[in-house]
Amino acid sequence: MLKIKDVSVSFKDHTVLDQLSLTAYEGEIIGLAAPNGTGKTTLFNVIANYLKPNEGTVVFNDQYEYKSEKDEVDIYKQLTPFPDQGDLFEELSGVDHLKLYANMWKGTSKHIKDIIKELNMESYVKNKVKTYSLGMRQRLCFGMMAAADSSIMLMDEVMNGLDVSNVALISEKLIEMKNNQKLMFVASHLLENLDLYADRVLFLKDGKIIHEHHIHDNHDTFIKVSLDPNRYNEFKQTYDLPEDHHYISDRLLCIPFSKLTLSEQTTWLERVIQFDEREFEIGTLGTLEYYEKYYHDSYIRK
Amino acid sequence: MFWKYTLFELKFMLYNRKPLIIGIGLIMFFIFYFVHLSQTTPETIKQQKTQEVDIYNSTLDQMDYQQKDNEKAEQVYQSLLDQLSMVRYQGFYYGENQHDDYIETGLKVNEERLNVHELGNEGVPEYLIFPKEEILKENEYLTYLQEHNLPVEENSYQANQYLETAVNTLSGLLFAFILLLSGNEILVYENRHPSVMRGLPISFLKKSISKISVHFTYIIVSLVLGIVLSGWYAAHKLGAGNFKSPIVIYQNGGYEAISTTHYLLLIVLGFALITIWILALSVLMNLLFQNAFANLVVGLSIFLIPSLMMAIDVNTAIFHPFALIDIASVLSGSLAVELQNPAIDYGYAITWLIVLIIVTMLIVIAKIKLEFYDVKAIFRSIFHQKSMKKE
Repeated sequence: MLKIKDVSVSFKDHTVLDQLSLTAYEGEIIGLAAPNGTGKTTLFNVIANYLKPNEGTVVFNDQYEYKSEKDEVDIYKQLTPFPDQGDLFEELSGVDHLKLYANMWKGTSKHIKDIIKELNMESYVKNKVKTYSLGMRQRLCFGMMAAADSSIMLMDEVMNGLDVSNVALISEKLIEMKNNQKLMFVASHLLENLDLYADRVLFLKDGKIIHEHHIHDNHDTFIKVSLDPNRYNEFKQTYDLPEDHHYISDRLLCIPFSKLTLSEQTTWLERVIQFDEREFEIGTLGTLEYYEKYYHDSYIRK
Repeated sequence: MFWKYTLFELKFMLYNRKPLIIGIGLIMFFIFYFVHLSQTTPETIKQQKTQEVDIYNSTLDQMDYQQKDNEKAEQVYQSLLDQLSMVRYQGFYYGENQHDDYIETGLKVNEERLNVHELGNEGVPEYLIFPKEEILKENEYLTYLQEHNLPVEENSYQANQYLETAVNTLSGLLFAFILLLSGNEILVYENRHPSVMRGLPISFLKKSISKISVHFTYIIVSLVLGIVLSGWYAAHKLGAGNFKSPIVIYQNGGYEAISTTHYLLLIVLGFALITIWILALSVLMNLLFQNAFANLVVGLSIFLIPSLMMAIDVNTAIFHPFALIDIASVLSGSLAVELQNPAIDYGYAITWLIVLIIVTMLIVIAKIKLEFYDVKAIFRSIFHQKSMKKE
């Protein structure tokens, strides 16, 4: 278990994390969704003690804090930060990297053969890293995390540079690791992908967690209609929209659906059909919708 | 964990060109130095004796023009005449291969030279006085030959004498520079791979010991290989010489002759400790400055402090340990003379080098420990408590 208690980080006048608190448990994947510069990497750096917070503490298993070097080593035995592909040793092979992480955390490298096979790295892993493409390097970085097999993993931009099939491969592997009771923090810009494996997604803004999206407990459905701002205003003037409706990114109207009675649901469906001939959808709000809701101004769709 | 990490460091080093270049450079230094020396002609014993005769003649000539109006000056003059005669005989004995007589006469010459020193070198021009250290050294040398029944060896660049010259040349700033160059990125290289290396579950001390061990191993292996290969090459070209031949070292305030093999072992042990110390110092400087270039500049400056201080007539014992990197000068006694500190001998140097290694590593540990404390806050609270007590 990992507890982040009232962590604040400021650089001169700029507050990156502001009294941020969070508890995370084994067997959980926590997604972090926020635009660049909102504190995702800072949070990871605080968890890994690469950056000392101005205030607050990080507690591992109700036991370890970064109070001494011995504590730090004890924590590091349980924690692996995601290596950046630019930091790999160009002259060493993928196997050398995997062996380093396997040996340092597990004390053995016997299991790396399976990892190489699972991540389809057999064809290149013995070559020097300098010959790898971005996708190959990213798979190696993920393989290093898998080789370390620590109980807590911090994965910053884990899907960077991966093609669709490899995104699916890594997603599957993440789910497998979650089932093995690993606690993983995943910062990713592939928002729809987060919905596949994350248990909850945290949205950071102004140094705080502004929303916690529990994917498995998300049963509230909405009627989702694409409307430009003019049509939205027209719709709003025509019908008395419920207070808890959302209008996201000046393009998507979300009307609460599951909370309504059957007759109310029918009424709203008729209104939407009458008002707009285009397709609409009934479903829960996903990470992408929440992301657009909270970061519309800074969001650049990928 | 320690060994697994050390294996990685070793692997990384094998793929890194810098240690390879330094290692090969160290080996090639010995080979090239032999090639260079073998093109020069060392001074023969006969030439040395002729030179000594010239010095005696010159001294006696100058004394002829002075009034020998006191007894001491007369005694000195007579002694010098005897010495001149004996040195001539030495030249003769050497030419006739009568080594025992050469040694016997040499010891008598030295006895007379010491006698002249006791008489205060009365009437002898200062620049013609035989230094007492040289007399004592030669005495030890000749006594060793006599006791071990060894022949007088002609000056040459045979393996034994060449190796002594080579290690003496390497000793000092040159060797320190090589070590600083090797260690200048001992930690800093990790800054180029931070996300891979930073979160490894190993303590900084273990990591440092691992790095020092790997660097130490390749440097000492290169050094020993250089000595062995160049020794073999010199033996092949000019002959092996006699490794039982004496070399005089400064020990316990006096001089003592030891065999060439013993001398080389002492030098290599000294080099080993110097290597560990400079690598530990590199870890500390990498930690403090995070810069490879600073490691070289600051490191060399530290070793130059004793000489620079002497140049401005400041001789402080506190800086003397930094001069111990020149282990050959420690062994010859020239460092003790230069720094006017008779305590500086091999035992002193080894003890100090061990102390320096421990102190350097303790500073490294303290630096790492302090990173977990807000030092300013601790000082603030101490001052605050003191001011509260005063009030």
